[in-house]
Amino acid sequence: MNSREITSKDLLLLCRDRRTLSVLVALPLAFISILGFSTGQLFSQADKSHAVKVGIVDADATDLSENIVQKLRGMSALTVSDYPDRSAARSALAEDKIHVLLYIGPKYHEKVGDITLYDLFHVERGNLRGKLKVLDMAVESGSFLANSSQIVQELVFAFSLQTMAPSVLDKDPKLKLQIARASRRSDGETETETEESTPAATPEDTAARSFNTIVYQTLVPAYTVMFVFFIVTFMARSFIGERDMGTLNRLRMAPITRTGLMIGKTIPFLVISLVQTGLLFLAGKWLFGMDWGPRPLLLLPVMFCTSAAATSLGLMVATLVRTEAQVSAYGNFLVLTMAGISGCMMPRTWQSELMQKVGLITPHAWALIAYDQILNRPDPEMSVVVKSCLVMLAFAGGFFAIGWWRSRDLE
Amino acid sequence: MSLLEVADLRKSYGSYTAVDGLTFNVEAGEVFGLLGPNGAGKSTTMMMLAGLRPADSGSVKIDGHSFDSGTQALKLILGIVPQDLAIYPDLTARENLQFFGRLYGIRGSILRERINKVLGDVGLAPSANVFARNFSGGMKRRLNFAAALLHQPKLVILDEPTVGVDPQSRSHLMDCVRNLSAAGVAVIYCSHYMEEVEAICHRVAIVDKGKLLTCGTLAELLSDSRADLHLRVRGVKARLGPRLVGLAEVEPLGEEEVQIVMHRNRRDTSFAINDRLTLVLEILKQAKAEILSMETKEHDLERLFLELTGRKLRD
Repeated sequence: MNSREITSKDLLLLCRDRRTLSVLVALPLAFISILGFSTGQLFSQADKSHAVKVGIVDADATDLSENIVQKLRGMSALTVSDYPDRSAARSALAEDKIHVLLYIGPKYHEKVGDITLYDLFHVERGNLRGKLKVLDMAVESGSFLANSSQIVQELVFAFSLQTMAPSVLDKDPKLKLQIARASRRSDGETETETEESTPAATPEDTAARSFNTIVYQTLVPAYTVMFVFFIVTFMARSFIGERDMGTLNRLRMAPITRTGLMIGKTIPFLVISLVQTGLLFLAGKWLFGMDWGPRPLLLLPVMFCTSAAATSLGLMVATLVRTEAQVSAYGNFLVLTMAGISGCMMPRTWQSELMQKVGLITPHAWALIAYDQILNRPDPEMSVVVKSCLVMLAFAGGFFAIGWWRSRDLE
Repeated sequence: MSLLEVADLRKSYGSYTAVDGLTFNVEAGEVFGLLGPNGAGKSTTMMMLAGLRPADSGSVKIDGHSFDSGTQALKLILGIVPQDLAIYPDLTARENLQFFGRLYGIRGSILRERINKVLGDVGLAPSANVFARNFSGGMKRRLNFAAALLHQPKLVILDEPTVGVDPQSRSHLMDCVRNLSAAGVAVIYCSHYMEEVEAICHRVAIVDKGKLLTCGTLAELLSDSRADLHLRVRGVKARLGPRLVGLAEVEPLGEEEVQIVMHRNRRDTSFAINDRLTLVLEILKQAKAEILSMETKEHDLERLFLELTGRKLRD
């Protein structure tokens, strides 16, 4: 079939066009990197740069207060620094050097000494109903966490309860004995379990991974889909180039059918589009540590259907525009608008319900739905992926049919 | 049976008639010149001959086949050299020819042999592996020409094949056309260069406004027209021009001199040349314009062309 010759020729020409190739692959990578940086994620910098900075003033300086400080230091999500007095810590807070200031007053140990077992179990009614204030503690939040100040106070209070609980329980001799026995039994069981099973991920690890997941599991597919559809402008330019050079007429004079010509001109861009998608997902995995989900093979049909829809749209646009200027104007407008309403530029979940529905008129949105299912769900729903693929193929068929019909007028 | 038979071919775009009942034929081995000013209908005719545009009515038969009966088979016996350089600048000459050859189903050693032959024929063998973008205008034209020959067509249509090329490339291309003709290939040669048409065409057709004005061998066409009369006169064009309207054309030669041209076959006047000459001499006498010289000039194709199609500028 002669369309194969056109495909080979266009692939050769595309491979020689380094600028086009670099735009198709390097540009989306640059976008993903820039957005990744701006959300504080790249390589190993991710966890450090995203840690909450806590400044601590320990005016109590007893074992009890030290327990809280050690607990906080043990959290990888926090970066803890000590300050000698409250005014120095407040200055640091004002300059955004720290996000949260924790002040442990000099009477902390005395206040903890007043707490009874009843207070521990009846926080809302006992001596602890004043929470941090009754323990001679205070939490101040900077602008970074200003809206979450209450959550931070509750967290610190929870840590206080956790660290003061043993000393309160120690006041009851019977309870102390029972706890010691239970502790010995528990240690024996834990050792056996540890020998038999692999170590579980720490809560800190899980938190960090989920943050990466949110950023790159969304960014990589979104910008991949957006840039896959930029093939539209390159296809249109290729057609206009053929028309301007006169080679399109020469092709039409050759013994090849119109359908063969259209297929021959479309397939090279489909191949390039698939390679582009594959490279971006590989880069997503290698550079940004994205997770391909529990069933990565499902990505292949989604990639194919997305590229098929993009190249068919490219064919349609190529047969509708007449000049390079029209390609730039209409092509870019179409691609950017579709990307905008579909959820490529901001996650679909951030869009209003109406916009999410409007976005479904684009193949982009269906691609994103399928990618979300595969990448972000522990058990991807096959019916959603299949439906998305079928809708994208329907888009591809429709675009191709219009392009084929319009190609009657190509000269 | 002629290799190409065109009968009563018509094509209109809305109210504009581009081709209006063209009829001609071309024999195998014949180089047929198709001449006409811009907008005469040549391009539309060629598009219809190439099967790129359907005719409103009339018929085109190439080697007995019409486009209705099997377009793909017909394309195999047609070779088109478009006026545009229809080659890929980012492919080498050989890659261009490989691509176009394969489009026509030629493969393997046959393709290699034919590529080598046409590269040699058009004088591009030493530059076979050079990117076409690095070629001179003449080399590009020759490659454009070569691409139409790979499938060994029986009829080759050349549309302005020598536009913008140096004399060497032009001469080489014309030799190539002669060789095609000698090999039995029918050639339709469209050009605005009359000396080229005179040099290589066996027969010539002049078309304008979609109609065939004349068609025949060069000798036949020029035998119909006799020499024009040229009078060199001392006088001012502004003074003589209005008086000679309908009788002769006045062309300035300098500040004081004009040339009065009297065509024998003017179609816009009922006066015979003798009567017109009498009237012109009378007007010159009244204007006291001194006749410096009088001579006759033999017709050539360009003069015939201008006579038939007029001197009015075309868009």
